[in-house]
Amino acid sequence: MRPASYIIIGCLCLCLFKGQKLLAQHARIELFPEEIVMGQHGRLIIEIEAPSEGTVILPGINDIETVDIEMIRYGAPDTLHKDGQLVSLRQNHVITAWKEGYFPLTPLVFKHIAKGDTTIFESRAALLKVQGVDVDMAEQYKDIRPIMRIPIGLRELIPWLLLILGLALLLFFLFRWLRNRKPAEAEESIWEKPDVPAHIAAISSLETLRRKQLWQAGKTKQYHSELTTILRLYMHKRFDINALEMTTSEIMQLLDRKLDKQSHGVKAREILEMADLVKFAKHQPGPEKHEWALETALDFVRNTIPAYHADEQAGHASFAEPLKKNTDAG
Amino acid sequence: MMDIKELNERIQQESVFINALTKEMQKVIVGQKDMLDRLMIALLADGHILLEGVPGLAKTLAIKSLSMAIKARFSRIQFTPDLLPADLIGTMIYSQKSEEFLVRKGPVFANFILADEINRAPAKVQSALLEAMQERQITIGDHSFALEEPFLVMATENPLEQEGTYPLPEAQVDRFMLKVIIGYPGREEEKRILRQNMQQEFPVTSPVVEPADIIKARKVVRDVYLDEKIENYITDIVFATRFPDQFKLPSLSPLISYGGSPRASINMALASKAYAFIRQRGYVIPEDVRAICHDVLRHRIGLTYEAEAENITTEDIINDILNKVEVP
Repeated sequence: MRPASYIIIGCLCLCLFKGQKLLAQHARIELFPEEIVMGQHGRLIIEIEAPSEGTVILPGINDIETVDIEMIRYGAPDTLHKDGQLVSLRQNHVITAWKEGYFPLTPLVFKHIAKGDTTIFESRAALLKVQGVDVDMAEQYKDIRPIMRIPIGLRELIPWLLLILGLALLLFFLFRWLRNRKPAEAEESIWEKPDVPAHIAAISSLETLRRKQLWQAGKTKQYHSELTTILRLYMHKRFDINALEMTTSEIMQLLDRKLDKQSHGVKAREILEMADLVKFAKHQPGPEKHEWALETALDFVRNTIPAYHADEQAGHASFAEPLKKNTDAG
Repeated sequence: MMDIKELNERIQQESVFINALTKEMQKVIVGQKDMLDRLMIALLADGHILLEGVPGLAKTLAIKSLSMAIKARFSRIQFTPDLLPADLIGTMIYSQKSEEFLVRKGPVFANFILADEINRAPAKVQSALLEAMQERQITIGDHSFALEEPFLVMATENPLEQEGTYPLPEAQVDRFMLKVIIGYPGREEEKRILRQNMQQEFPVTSPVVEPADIIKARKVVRDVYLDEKIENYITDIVFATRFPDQFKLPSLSPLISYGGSPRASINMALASKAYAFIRQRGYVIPEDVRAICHDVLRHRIGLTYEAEAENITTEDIINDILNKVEVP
């Protein structure tokens, strides 16, 4: 065969290959519906077939929109099919128009880029028919429609009902918790009750302290702290001195004036000073000293009951007596 | 942890010199017991003291007598507007003989310093002294010199003639452990002062303690037992200066611009320990805290314009706090 024949056969093969490639790229546009009413949303469906190798460049919004046709939503490309040779893409745009008439959609241009070669191909043109709205001029003008109210259903109510139920449960448990811890508070708040005289509150608190058996459990510091707090609370209520905010020496200075240095005042000083040693100097008195401190505190309270309360006690069944028995028993 | 009984015994032995020292000082100083106590506290707790009082209340005499009784070096520096830091800490002097710069140490190199009228010198001089107080060392040129122990600065402020003075900034005032306000002596004390000064010979303090004894005592002071309850009490007092609302003192909130710093808590604890030591006790009780509380806090609480307009002082605020914070 001659060399010229080889060249001719080669050119023919190239043409065939090129032709195959051209045939493989295909774009189709469709309007659905082809006829819309002014302002109605219509769909512009674009379908492309191209070789799977390479990139297809699709027309943008500006390529589709015209003076009369408006793009409402630009649809993202969706791959319908892909194999080793071809890829099928679809775009679903939403368009509309605001004028009556026929509006042509010019052929859209697509590009396929593969291995540095760019192939341009086009779709066919399409025609959008837009109908006007019939206006009955005989009728009266109507007002703008109000906002539509959607009736509230069970689905909307359920979260609220659950929230109310949850809050109710929370309140219920909170109430129960508060009710259960009330007895513990009641003993502490005896000092808060205005109708309970200071000596009753003090004796009651001292007896409660005895029942707690703190020093027997090795809690000496706590025992003396609570004992002195009761004593200072009593002094505060009985003698109207801010004993809780005062040091032992300050309390005794004031108390000496009020009690005129009576012996029970001296005893009170001894209790407070011993408690100071326990609280601040790790002093560990013997067991008899713990009992002595409590008994002396009780004596101090009983000996400093105001005269009008002491008269009341003499007239009625005394609270001091049963306490005395308790003391003896303890 | 040392046994309290043992500690008590040790403190009773170690604090014997306090009585001798006080007695010696009282030979020359009539009255002013609080000032002498506070001087001892600052000395034992390794702090510094700021004194405020009108002239002639034996401030200089007190620290001079203290230094004589301890056999320590004493310097008096009169702060003036033209004083320079070099006048205080020293400087480098060129010696033509040896052809080199030699260090000439300033008056701050002593055990006891009386910084008289500290608010008359400009900020740079005040800073030089306050830095020495904090760092306990002085740098002159390339050389750093540790200050000799014990080192106590007693600065004085004159509440009168405030024009042209340089008030100490809050951050620097905070470095003084105690601020003591000295009042006039009583009538009887005044008569005793009069008689003492009319004598032919003014009494002189004799040395009764060595500086080494003070350094030893300082270690014992640190060992004084401070219970957690007292720690809480100190913290409550300092917190009440910062957040009065939390201590049922809402009326104080508009009067306080800033409360005590953590240095206030530290110094209150240290000063309480020193006070307990002076009282020959191995543990701190609330009385000790209350005794030194005013002196530790009065320069650490900032007053608002509202408080100043109403003539409310830090003393009033501290009193309110002490009357409200529960004693353990």
